[in-house]
Amino acid sequence: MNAIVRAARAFPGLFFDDGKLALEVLALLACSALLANAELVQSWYSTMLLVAGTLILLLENLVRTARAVRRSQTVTPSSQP
Amino acid sequence: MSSWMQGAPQMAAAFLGSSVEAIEAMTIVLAAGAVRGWRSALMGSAGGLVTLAAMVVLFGSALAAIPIDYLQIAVGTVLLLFGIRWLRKAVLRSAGVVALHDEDAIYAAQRNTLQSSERSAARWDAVAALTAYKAVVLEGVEVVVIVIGVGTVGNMILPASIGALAACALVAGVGALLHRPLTRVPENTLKYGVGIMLTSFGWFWFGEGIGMRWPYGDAAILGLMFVLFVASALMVRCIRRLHELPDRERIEARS
Repeated sequence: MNAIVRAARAFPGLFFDDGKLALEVLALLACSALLANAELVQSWYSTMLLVAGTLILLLENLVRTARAVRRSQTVTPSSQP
Repeated sequence: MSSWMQGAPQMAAAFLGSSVEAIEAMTIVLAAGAVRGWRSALMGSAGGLVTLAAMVVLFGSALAAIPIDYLQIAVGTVLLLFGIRWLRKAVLRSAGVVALHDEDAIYAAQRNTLQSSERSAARWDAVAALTAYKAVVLEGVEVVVIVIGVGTVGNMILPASIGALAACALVAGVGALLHRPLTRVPENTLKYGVGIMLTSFGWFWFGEGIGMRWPYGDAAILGLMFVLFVASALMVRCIRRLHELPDRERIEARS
């Protein structure tokens, strides 16, 4: 029973490693869909938003993760006597 | 012939993605079999495969009833989230921020866990069967998502399924021959490539679903892959530099 519960808990992790990044990507997709259906805006704007937006979100997440890892590595050795 | 040529990217994405997942599942099944007995581990794996087959039949027939636009949006969203997750992990590993996936370490850890749990006297070992079942189902779900994701929309489910089955058969065959985890496969490179492919497919299908018109039609997928490859290569360099910068805080702390 425990194994089934653990498996069920692991399931969302297949899709979302970082919940914040997943939410940001979903928000970007919603914005792209809105822009694509707006008649006043040229269609390639939404294409640019989708592609460039995803890359920017990914880069921001990578920088944040790398800084967090660095910070944890900095704190650990200096705290040792 | 031309439809097979058109299905080549889907087949390649399914083959590469499934190889990674099959290797991960195989490592755990091998550990369970070696420590607790092969019969239960193989029964658990077979149970996992039956569960996956049922999922494919269930979802496959349900997907056929969904209008194409909604299907493109749903599949595009799932592939994009899936691809970005793989790409993020691959870039962090390539830049040295996160340790590379080590099948040997996973195999050893799994063996220790299984050895420490109490073994039943009966020939049937529930722990081994459940461990193998869980590994096959969890890793297999990712294979199913990849196959359905890259294959459904363009009516390329057959090439994608063949790619996935070939990868699983190859890994299972090699694993059965060697009886140890496949450590020499460049898993991070595979994950990197699949991350690029899945993200590009995700962009493309989501864009089609919301009414975007991609330049050059289906060939735009190759252009998107190229853009993503260049961008992610730059990201690896940027993140590596950020990670390896002289640590001013650490120097100050020491002085």
